[in-house]
Amino acid sequence: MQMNQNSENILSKDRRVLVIGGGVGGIRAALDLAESRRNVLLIDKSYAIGGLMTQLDRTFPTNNCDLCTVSPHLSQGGREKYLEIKPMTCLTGLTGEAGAFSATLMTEPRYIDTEKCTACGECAKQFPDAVRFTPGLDPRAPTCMRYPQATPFAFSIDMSKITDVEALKKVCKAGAILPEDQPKKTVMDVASVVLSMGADLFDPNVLDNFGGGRFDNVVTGLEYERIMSASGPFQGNLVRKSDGKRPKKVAWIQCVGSRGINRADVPYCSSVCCMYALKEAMVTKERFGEDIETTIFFMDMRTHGKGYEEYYNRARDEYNVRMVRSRPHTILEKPDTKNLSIAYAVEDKSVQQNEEFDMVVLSTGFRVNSETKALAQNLGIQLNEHDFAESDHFNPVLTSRPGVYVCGVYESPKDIPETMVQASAAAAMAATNLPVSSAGLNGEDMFPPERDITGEDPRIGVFVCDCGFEIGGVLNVANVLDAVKTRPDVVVAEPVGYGCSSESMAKIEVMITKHKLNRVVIGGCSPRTHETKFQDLLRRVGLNRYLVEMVNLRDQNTWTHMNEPEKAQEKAVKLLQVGIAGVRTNHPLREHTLPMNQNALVVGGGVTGMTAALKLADQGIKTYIVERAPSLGGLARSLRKTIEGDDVAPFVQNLVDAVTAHSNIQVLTRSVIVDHSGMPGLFKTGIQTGVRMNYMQIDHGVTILATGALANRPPQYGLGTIDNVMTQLDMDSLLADEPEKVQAMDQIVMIQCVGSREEGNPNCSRICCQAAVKNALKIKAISPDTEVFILYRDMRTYGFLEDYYRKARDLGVKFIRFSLENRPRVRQDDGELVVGTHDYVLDSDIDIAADCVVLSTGLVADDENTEDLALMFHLPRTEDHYFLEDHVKLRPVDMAQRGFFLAGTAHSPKVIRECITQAQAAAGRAQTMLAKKEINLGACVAVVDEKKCASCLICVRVCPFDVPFINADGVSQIDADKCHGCGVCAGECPAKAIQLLAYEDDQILAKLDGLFER
Amino acid sequence: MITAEQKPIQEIIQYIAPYSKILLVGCNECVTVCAAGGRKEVGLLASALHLNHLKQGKNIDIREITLERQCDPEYVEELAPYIDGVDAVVSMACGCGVQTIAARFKKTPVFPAVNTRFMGASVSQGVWSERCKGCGDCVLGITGGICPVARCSKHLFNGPCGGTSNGQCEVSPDIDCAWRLIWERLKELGMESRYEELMEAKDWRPGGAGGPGTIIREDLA
Repeated sequence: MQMNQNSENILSKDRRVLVIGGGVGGIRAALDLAESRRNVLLIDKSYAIGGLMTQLDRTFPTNNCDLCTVSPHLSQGGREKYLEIKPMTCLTGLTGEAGAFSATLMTEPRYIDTEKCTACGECAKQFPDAVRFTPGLDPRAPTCMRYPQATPFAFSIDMSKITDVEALKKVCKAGAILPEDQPKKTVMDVASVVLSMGADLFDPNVLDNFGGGRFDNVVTGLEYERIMSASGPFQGNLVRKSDGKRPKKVAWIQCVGSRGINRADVPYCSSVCCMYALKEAMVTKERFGEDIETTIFFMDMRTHGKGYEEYYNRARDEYNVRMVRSRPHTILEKPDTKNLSIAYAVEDKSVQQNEEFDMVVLSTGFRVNSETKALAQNLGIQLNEHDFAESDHFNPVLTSRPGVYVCGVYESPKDIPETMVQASAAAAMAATNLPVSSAGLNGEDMFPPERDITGEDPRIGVFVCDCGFEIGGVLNVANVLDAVKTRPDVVVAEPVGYGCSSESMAKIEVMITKHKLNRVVIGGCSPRTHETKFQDLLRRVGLNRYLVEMVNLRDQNTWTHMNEPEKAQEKAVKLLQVGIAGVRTNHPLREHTLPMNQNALVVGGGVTGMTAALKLADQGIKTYIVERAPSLGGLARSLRKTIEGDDVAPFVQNLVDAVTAHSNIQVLTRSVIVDHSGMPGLFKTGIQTGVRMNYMQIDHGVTILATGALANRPPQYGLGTIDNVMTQLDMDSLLADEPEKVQAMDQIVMIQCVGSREEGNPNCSRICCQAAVKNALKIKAISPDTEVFILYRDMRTYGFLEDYYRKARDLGVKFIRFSLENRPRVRQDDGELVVGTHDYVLDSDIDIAADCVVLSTGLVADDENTEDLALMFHLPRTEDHYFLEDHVKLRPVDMAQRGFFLAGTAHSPKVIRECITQAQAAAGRAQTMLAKKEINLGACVAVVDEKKCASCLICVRVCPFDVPFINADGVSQIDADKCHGCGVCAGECPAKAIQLLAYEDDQILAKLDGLFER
Repeated sequence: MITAEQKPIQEIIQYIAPYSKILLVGCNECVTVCAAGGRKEVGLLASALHLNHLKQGKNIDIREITLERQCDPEYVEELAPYIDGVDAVVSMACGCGVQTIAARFKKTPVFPAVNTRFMGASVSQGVWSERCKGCGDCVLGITGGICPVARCSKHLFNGPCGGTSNGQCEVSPDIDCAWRLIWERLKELGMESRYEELMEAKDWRPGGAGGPGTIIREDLA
C-alpha cells in the first residue's frame, strides 16, 4: 500500500504538532520539532514522560546504564521553549485535515500542582501504602514518582487510595496538593500529529504452561531488568523472589507469546527480545558473577541490527552464554526448592529432556493495548491485522490519514535506535505541515538588557540545593551554609531545596534583585546538565550568564561519599569556597556567533540520498547531490520488487524525476569529493565533476552521508563459475523479466548467509532472509509446483516480515537449517546441479538436485569509498567499514563530527523502506541544526595580550585548528569567530600572553586559593 | 636567536640558599621564544622554588618580573624600584642579560637560572639547532648556505675529514656531515665548481680569538 499523503503542504500559522506518547521516540520527535522551531505539545497518559526505556537496566549493544543516557534527553525535554508537555493526557477526538486539525484532549487530575511541587518526597514518606505498579515487582506508594530524574519533576497522587485528604495537605509544605483537581478538556489547533504510543509487553500470565504469575521465580524480561536495576525493588541485587537468594542457573525462553499460532500467541516477531535476552545474560555474568550459568532457549537468533551479530558471538564465545535451539513446552515448579524444571526437545535428539533452573526469564514481546486501539479509532487511522498502525510501504511514517504520522513500536516492533530514526523521520514529515515559529527567533530577545556591573564590588549569593535526599540526605545544608556565609563578599547564603524547580528558581531571582547580587554560586548538581538552566536564570534578571558558578555537591560529593557524611560535609564547604573564590573573579563575557551556511551537501544519489535531498529542498534548503556514478538511483536500480509486492523501478524513477526537476537541488553526477575544510555550519567541500573532472567548491552548513553499500558477490558455492548459480538480485530480475524460465524449473535451492556472519564479514546483512522469502513466495505464486528449498542458519524475518515467512512455510517452501561447521556444498554431477547438506532432523546428509541455486549474498560496506571519505571528513568507521554514528542507541543518524548525518546502507544493511526512513530522519536532524541560523561559538575563546606577545610562533604551531597567526603588527592574533576554545595555546604560550576566557589564570588560581583557605 | 636551557634546579637552589628575598627576572626575547626564560618559565620556576622552601620549612619571597629585553640597560632600569628590597637577583635571560643586570646593580648578587647554549634556529616545535658560531667572517656565500663553522664538528674548511661515514659525522650518527650537506646543496644549485675553490686558512680573530668583540657604529654612537 502507498499512502497518498505528501501531495501538498498546508501551512498554518501558530499551530503546533501534537506528539502522542512520551517514550524515547516521542521525546526525540518532540525535541527535533522544537529544535527546528516548531511549536510542539507532547502528551502522555502517564504522569511522567520516559516510557519503557526508563525501566530498563542497561541497553544493548553497549551494556550501558539507560538512565544516564536518556535522562539528559528528558531534562532537555523540560527545557525547550517551543515544547510543552502535558502528562496524564489523552486525545479523545481529531477533526479537520492536515495542517488544520482540531484536537480534543482530556487531562486526568494529578491532584498535585506541578508548578509548586518540589518533589521533596514528604508525601511519599507519609503515605507509603503499597500499590502494585507495573511492571509488577515494584512496591510503590500512591504518590508515585517513577525515577529520580522524572519530567515533570513532580509527584502524582492516586486519590482513590487516600482517606484523609487534610492530613495529606498538611504534609506538603509547598502547598502543592490539589484535592479538588478535576479532569480538564482542552481543544486546540494542531497542524499534524505524531503517534508514538509504543506498545505494552505481553503478559505471560495468560499462558498456562510457563507458570507466569504463579511461580515466584518465573519473571518476564522486563521484570528481570527491574530486578537488576539499581532503582529496582532489590536495590540492584540479583535475587530470587522466593527466597531472596542469588540464582546460580538462569534460563531465558524466547518468543513467549510471539511467533506462535496457539491461543494468546501473536504470529509476528517482536524484534528486540533476542538482543535483550543476550544482554540480560551477559550483564548477569558481568555484574553478578561469572559462575552464574545462563542458558537461552531460542528458535532463531535474530541479531540483525548493526553490530548485533558480533554481540551474539561475544555472548556465546566470551561470556559462555549457552544457546539451546528449542522452544520449550512446559515449566514445572519444584514445590520444595521453588526451582523450575524446563521440558524441551532439541532437533538432533529424539527424546524430551528435563533440566532444572533456579530462575526462568520469559522473553515477552510487544502487544498493542486496548487504549491505543481506542485511540486509533478516535484518530480514524487504519490498523494492520496485528492492530499496529498501517503504514505506507515506501514511507513507513505515513499513516492512512494525511497529517498523522507514526513512529516507533506502534508502527512495528523495533528497538531503540530504529525508534529514534523513525521518530526523527516522523518529526521531519510533521514539520512540513506548519511553518517555523516566528516567536523568539533570537533566544536573547527574551531576556532584558544586561546590567553593567563594572566598578561594582562583588556581591555574591550562595544557593544550595538539597535535591531531595540526594544531597540533603548526606549533608546538613544549613551547617554548610553557616560555614560559608561569613566568606568575604557573600551577601546571602540560602537553602533552595530543589534549586532547579520553577519555584526555587523564582525565589533565587527575587533574592538576586533584592540584594543587588552580581555573582551567584549554585551548590547542586552537574553543570553538564544544569548550567544552562542557571545561566538563563541570570539572564532573566539582567546579569551576564557567565557570572554564575556551579558547584557539584551531588555527583562529586554526596554520591561518592555517601557513607562518610562528616567528610562529605567538610568537602562541601571546601567546594563552595572554591566556587565563591572563583565567581569573585568572573566577569561578563560575550558569546560569538557566525551566520550558518544554509546549504546542504548530500553525498550519494541513491534512494537514500535523493529522499534526504528532496526533504531538505522542499524546506527551501539549497541542496547539492554528489554522485560518483553517471546517473542517480544507486543500488535500487537493480531491485525489481519489494517483499510487499511493490514495483521499485517506478518509485525510483519518480524520485529521480522529482530530484532533477527541483529548483533547490543541484545534481552533480560523475563527481568525487577531493577536499574538505571548515567547521560545522560553515563547510567547504571541493569536488571534481563531470567527464572532464572540473574542480568545483561547495559551501554548505550540513552534510548527509548516503553513500550506500555494495551488493556482495563472494566467490562461494560456485558463484561466477558454475552456471545457474546466482544471487537473490539475479533471481529478482529473472522473476520480473523471464518468469517462464523459472516456471520451467522443478527445484530451486537458496542458500542464506553467503559471505555474511562469517570470518571477513562477521555481521548479518539483515536483508537476505526477507529477500529469499520474497523470491520464494514469488516463485510459488507463478509456479506452485516448483519446489523451493531454503538452507538457512537463522531465519531473521523480524517484525511483520514473519508473516511472509509463515506464508512461505504454508505454501510448502522447505526450510533446512545448516551450521557454519557443516556448510552446504554445491557441485555438478554429470552437468546436473546438486546441493549437498546435512539435515539435523533426519540426522543425515542429503543431496538436493537443483535447476538453479540462489545465493543470499547481502551487502558489504564500500571500504575504499568510506575510507576516503572518513579521512577527508574526519569521521569514524566501524570495524566492518560502515560509518559509525555518534551514539548507536540514541543518536543513530548524527555523526560524532557535528554537522554530519548518516543514512541508508552507508550506516548498515537495511531494506529500502528503512533507508527512506533514515533519509528523512537525517534530513530532519540536519534541519534542526540549520534552524539555528547561527553558529554559537560560545564565549570561551583565547585572547592575546599584544603587549606580552613575543611573536614566538608557538601558538601558531600548536593550534590544532590553525587559527593563530602573526599579524601586521607583528603579534599573534586569534580571531574569536574561528577559535574553538580548546586552550592549547594558552597552556603553551611561553610569554603568558594568551588567556582562555572563562578559564583565566586568575580564576583558576582564585579557586585554588579558595580550596586551601582556612 | 640565542638559545638557552634551564639549569638543574638543585644548582639554582644552591645559589639562592642564603637568601630569602629574590627578584626572579625573565626576558621576553630569545629565551621566551626558546621556552627557557619567558613569563611562563618564570612562573614555573618561582612555584618550584616556593615548593622547595615550603618543604624545607623555610620562607622565601619571590618577586617575578619579565623584562622586554634584559640586554638593554633601559629595560633593566625597570628593576631599580625593587632592587633594594631583595637579597639577590635570579636571571632567566641569556648571559648577556645576566651581565647587564650585574653591571647596573653593583651591590646585589645576580645568578643565572639558565645555561646559554648557542645561536640557533627552530627546526620544529620544541626543537632548536645550532646554526651560527659568530665567527665574524661569514662564508655561507661560498658554502651554499650551509655553515661549515657551526655545523662541522671540526669547523673544517675545504671538504670533509676522513671521519665522515655514510654522510654522517663520526662524532655522532645523528649529526649530518656539514660537508656532505654543502656538496648536495651545491650540486642542486649547479654550483659544483665552487667546491673546487680552495679557502685559505681562516682568521679567527673576529670570532673571539682576538679578545671580546665590540661593534662601534660611528654614525649611531
